[in-house]
Amino acid sequence: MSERNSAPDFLKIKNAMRHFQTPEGSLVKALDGINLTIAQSEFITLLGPSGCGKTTLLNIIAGFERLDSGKILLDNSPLLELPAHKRPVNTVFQSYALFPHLNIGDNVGYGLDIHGVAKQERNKRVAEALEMVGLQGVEKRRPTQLSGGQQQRVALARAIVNRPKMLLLDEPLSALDRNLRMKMQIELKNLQAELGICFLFVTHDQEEALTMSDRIVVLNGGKVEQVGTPDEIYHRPASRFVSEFIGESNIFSGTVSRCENGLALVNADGSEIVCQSQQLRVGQPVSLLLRPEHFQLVAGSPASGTSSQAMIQARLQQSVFIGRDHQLHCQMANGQPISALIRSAMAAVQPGQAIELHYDPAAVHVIPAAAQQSADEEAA
Amino acid sequence: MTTAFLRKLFNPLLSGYGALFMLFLYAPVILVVVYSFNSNPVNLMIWDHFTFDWYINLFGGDTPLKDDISYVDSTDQLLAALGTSLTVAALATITATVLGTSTAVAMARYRFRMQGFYRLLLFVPMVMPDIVLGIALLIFFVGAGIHLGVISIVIGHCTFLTSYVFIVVSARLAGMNPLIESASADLGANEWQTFRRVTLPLILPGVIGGALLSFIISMDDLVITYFISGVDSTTLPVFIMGLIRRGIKPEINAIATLMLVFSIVIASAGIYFKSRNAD
Repeated sequence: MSERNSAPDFLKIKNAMRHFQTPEGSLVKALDGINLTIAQSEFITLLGPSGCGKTTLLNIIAGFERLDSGKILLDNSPLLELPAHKRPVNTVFQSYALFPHLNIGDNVGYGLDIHGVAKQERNKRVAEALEMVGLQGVEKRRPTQLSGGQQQRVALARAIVNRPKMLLLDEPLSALDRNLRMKMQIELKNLQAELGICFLFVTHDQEEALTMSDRIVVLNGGKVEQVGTPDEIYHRPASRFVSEFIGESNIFSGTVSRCENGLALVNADGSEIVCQSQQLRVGQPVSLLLRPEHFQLVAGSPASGTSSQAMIQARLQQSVFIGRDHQLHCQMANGQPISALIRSAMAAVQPGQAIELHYDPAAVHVIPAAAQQSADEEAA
Repeated sequence: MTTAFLRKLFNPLLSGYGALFMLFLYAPVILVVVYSFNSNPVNLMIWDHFTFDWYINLFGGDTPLKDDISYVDSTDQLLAALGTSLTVAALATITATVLGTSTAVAMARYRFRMQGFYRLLLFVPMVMPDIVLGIALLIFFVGAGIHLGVISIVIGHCTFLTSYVFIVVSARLAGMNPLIESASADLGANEWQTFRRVTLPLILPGVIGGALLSFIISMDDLVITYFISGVDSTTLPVFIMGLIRRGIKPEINAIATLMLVFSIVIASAGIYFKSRNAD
């Protein structure tokens, strides 16, 4: 999807540093040397736990906060020299921040009024923007007369009506209920494709990030952990942090005990995991990732099918029905908990029963040890 | 059951107490209004019969009253004092509203050194004894060679009216989401446009409330004005104070009633503006 982007280095962030002083006097690194390149018509998500610096970075691009050091280029011109009101970017705020004293038409038309757009064109563009977000004919109403979801749409229309080069969205869906949020995710994605401008979306919700993004930037402690497509982030996390933050994960740490035929055997605290890898050496410490959906359940005695080596013996502790699947909470012989997602029809096992969880060695992902380094390389 | 019984017993008592308290507050004021229509020229506490004579006399109309029982030698003097009061109140209100509002915005939106100290300084004029402020201003004006007149009174009133406006507007600003101003900047408005189109409309009820409060306080101020008004710039309260030195006469009731009506009108306007913008 990101291949059609015309300018691959539309927004360039170079070595962005930002410190905050806590009331106790200690320094907190909100941004610790961020390098990032964003394409012109990309849907990019900044994802991370609270305090990872994602909102700080968005505020700096919008112009509400300053950078201690570093450079930001938008469309090859320096952005940081411009005050907020001269930047060709618009923001959708988490709390919407609609003007309570203006009606919806004047809210959406605010930017156009400031720029002195002629009345007729202004009204036409306001109506178009409201139509784009699916809210026709509400121009005369007040923000307080609309529901939260409708206010969200007004905030979106108010931003896109100005035809910004880039739209910044600061957790705009967090106040909506689940169904509406999922609907808005699809609509935002469609809107972005329609407008063809860059959306920089900030969220702490990994599901949201995976649903909408062309690329995801995972931030942690003011540093970039990984930049990649949702598929890369989910299936090939660059660090232990990313694999634990995105989706559910089973991580096995151990050392490589044997390598043959492109397969490596890892001894993880007494149990053996097989993975497909050419790079691993015997004796090397390593962390392996297996997602819960990568397991197949075989109860009792070993069954035919997958390689008899590629399985984990465990004891079922609890089985939770979650619709199409059952979530199995199990424990390995060494005490490590393990989570598996099994089709409900196959999950006829009782708690306390010994089970075998089979997997494909190709599905095992080896988490790189020097995660930070590779993430930086990818960003630069 | 006991609670219900007690409640039954105490509810009428509580209502009675409430009524008595309101009576205590307002009885003197009501008496003044009632006696302003009393025709008894000698003892104003003894009701004679209903008359408009005191009001007519105030404005120089012909009444059957003898000259020696009226205060106001010439209606011109009274009207001149009223005119001075209105001029002072208008000028002081405008100046204090502009100063107080801009100070409140600066305090709420910017961070600077010794901010807490400046905030404290803004509260001081309200708790400082009027007499101290009056004497201090008098010494300052005389020392600085500023002529005592309308201008000196306006300056004097602004010293404490600014504080009132500051507090009322600050309360309004505190209830405002600062992100709304960020949104305005994000949409291309510079700081002045943001103030004009977003901040001011949202704090306007506070600004109008502060202005009306200033106007009433300025019209009403006696102690400070007494020190800093010149011979040719007597305000209404100072003028009335001068009259009362010559003894209490029924005419004072009429003047008091008129001032009361004026204050109620201003206060009602304030409440109206506040309620109209309460969203």
